[in-house]
Amino acid sequence: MNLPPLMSPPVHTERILPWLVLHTCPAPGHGYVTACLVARTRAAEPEQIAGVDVALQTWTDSERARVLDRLGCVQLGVRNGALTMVYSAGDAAHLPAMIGGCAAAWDDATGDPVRARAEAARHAWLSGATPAAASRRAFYDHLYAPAPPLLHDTVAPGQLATCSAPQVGEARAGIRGRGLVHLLVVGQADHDLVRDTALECLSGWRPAADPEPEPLQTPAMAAVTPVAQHAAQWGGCHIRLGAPAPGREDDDLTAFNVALLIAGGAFPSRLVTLVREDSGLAYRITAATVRHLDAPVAVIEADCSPASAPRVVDEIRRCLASLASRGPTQAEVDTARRYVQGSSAIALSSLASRAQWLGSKIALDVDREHECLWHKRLYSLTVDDVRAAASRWLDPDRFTGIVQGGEQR
Amino acid sequence: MQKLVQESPVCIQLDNGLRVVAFHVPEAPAAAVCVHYGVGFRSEPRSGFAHLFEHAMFQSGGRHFDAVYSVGGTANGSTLPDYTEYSQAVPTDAVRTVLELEASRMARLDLDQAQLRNQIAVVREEIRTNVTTRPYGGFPWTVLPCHLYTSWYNGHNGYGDLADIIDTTVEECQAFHAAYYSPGNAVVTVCGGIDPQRAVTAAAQAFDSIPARPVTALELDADTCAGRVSGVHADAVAPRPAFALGWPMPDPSTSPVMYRAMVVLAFYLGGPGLPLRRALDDCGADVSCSAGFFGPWRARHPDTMVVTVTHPASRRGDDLAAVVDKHLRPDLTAFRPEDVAAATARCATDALRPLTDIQSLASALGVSELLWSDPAGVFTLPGRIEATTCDEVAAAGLYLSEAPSALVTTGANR
Repeated sequence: MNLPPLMSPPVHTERILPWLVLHTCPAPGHGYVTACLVARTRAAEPEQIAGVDVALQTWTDSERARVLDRLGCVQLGVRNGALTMVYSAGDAAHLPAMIGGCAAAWDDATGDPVRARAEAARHAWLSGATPAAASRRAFYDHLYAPAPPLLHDTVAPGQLATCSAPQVGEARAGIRGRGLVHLLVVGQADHDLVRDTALECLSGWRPAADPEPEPLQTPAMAAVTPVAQHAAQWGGCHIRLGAPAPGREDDDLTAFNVALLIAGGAFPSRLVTLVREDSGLAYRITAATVRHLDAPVAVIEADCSPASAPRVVDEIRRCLASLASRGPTQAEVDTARRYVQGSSAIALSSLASRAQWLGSKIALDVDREHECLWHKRLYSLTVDDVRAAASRWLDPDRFTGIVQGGEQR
Repeated sequence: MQKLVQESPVCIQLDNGLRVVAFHVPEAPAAAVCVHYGVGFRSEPRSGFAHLFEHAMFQSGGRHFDAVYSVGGTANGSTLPDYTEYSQAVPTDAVRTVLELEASRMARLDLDQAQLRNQIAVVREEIRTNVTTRPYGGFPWTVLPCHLYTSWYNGHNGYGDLADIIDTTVEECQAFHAAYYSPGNAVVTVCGGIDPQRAVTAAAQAFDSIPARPVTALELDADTCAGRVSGVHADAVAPRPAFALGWPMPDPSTSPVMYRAMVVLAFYLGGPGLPLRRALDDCGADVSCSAGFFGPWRARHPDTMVVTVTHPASRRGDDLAAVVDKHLRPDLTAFRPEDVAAATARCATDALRPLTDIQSLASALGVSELLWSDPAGVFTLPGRIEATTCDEVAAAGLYLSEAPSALVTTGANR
């Protein structure tokens, strides 16, 4: 099957070293290039996660990062947990420095480890000081009873502050020593030229251990339990409800994704209309699938006042129940399909989002066969398919959750 | 740095005064459509009105979000001091539809009291989510201006208090629309995988029939305080103390070199591994710095240079503010060329970033046309920033050290 052109940017993939796969993708733009290194950290214990965090922070303060700064390149972002992506972006003329810079992220120990530890701990502390962050921690502990550490964005500030130098060194070696590493270059750069540059920059950056990825481990979930409410000092509430969602091999996946989109996955969804536009109960309400290896969770989140929280939870449950029992309309399914198509066109029109889109597919091993199957299902989807998926996965009684903030009721 | 953009944006002005900017991004399967109106919270009749009005515009003529979503796109709005931005990203074949939607709400505000009442509730929840329950929410842009500027329009909180907007009527919204949402006070920008001449023609067809209306303009003065004024802002959820220092920036129209140097200075003061950040790191403090509350060249004069520091309770904010002041003065802390070069490179890269994203680029082109009548300036900006010298940045530091300023502290009650 041919993929719709909007969703299928041409990617040239080549294994250029036993441990390194190069992907290049032309992109709209004017000479700006993004280079992205994708690797699995495999960090699963708090000590390992702390080591990765501090290693990344050390890099920010390192001489190599400053060299990149002076060239006009910039680190765009890093994701931790099951995978790590390091971006550089800048003028195409600086591609060698960017590719070398991505790799050097893991090796450069010139940054001040004391400063890095303190800074990582401060960031963890500040980013955890909101109802949403507290709710995320409580929710995953509730759902997985308790959550494996890798599901948390980071670890406790105290663990970061006391992270030892051997832990940081082990994290660095672990990142570059496990499985395949992928180099993705998006923008107006010739594949052969990028290959030569990558070989020159990365040949000496060898993995220490086996070249094949370790199998992904699916975290086990606890039994679904009723919604719990946690009191805290905030004047607002963060509601987070979730339930296990279909994995990527599940036949229901496409229909479920469309059902969740109709429920709350895009701005004029049923939940936004009910909770925000018709009743003004919340400013933000969203529904999305959060993937943790292959243990995906459908998560619905809303911010509202403590007084409104019970009503918002009721509205969410009513909305899910209606979708699960009566299904969507044909118009909703058609609109959702157009939205999926439009979103990919928008994502592919910008360099960073195109790199993120492709980087995520690489990291999650979404190959062309998967992609074709997904599109085939999307375009042949019926109202009955979506209703059946909603009935299996969006029944409100499957959901558990946290209401974080406000007074104890 | 190589010249990244070889083309210029296409710009026209319709008979009704509307300006249209179009720029082609080859091979992009989508396009961004922005409409910028030359009215923001500095022009509003009472605190929070312009932002509420932005919400009301999305209700006009049915629900704008639904219409954009149904063609596979996304939409958003934002209200800044001197302009309000309505932005959409859509597959290229839906550009004409979005232009017609925008033209419809520019021509006429179609709103009833029930819709308005509901949006007042949504704004209340937005402020609760983004300001009152979020540590450092809205800090310092909602609380510092009232100390630094003496006039209401420069100094008030643009997010607003619910008490000020709760009784807003549809008639007041209609009057605001008539005064400020005229074609002559707006710029339409189309940017993406669409031929710019086709985009301009589509825009002309959509907007040409809207009659010209008088343009209401606000005369702004830099009515600053004298010396340094201090204030305290209560924040019950801030996990540790913080302070913000603000200074009025020079006018970018009359002092472009000094303004540009100040933009680089912001990267110098907040940059990792650079002198101020290292000095504050040693005290366990974080620093961020911004030329302009919402970024440089995003507001008319006067805009504000702001340094924000969060720090341990064991450190006195006044002592750390003195560290910031010391790093502004070349006679007390040397501006090393290699440090300024690092800040300049980072600043130039920051100016490049919008060129890689159709939505950011459409926004930048529209703002540059609306405020500075220079959309092409977006493309020459990285080069101009790179030309900034160490002496110019040191002079910008000295300028601030002699300027009036405001110091607002928060989070000290925990």
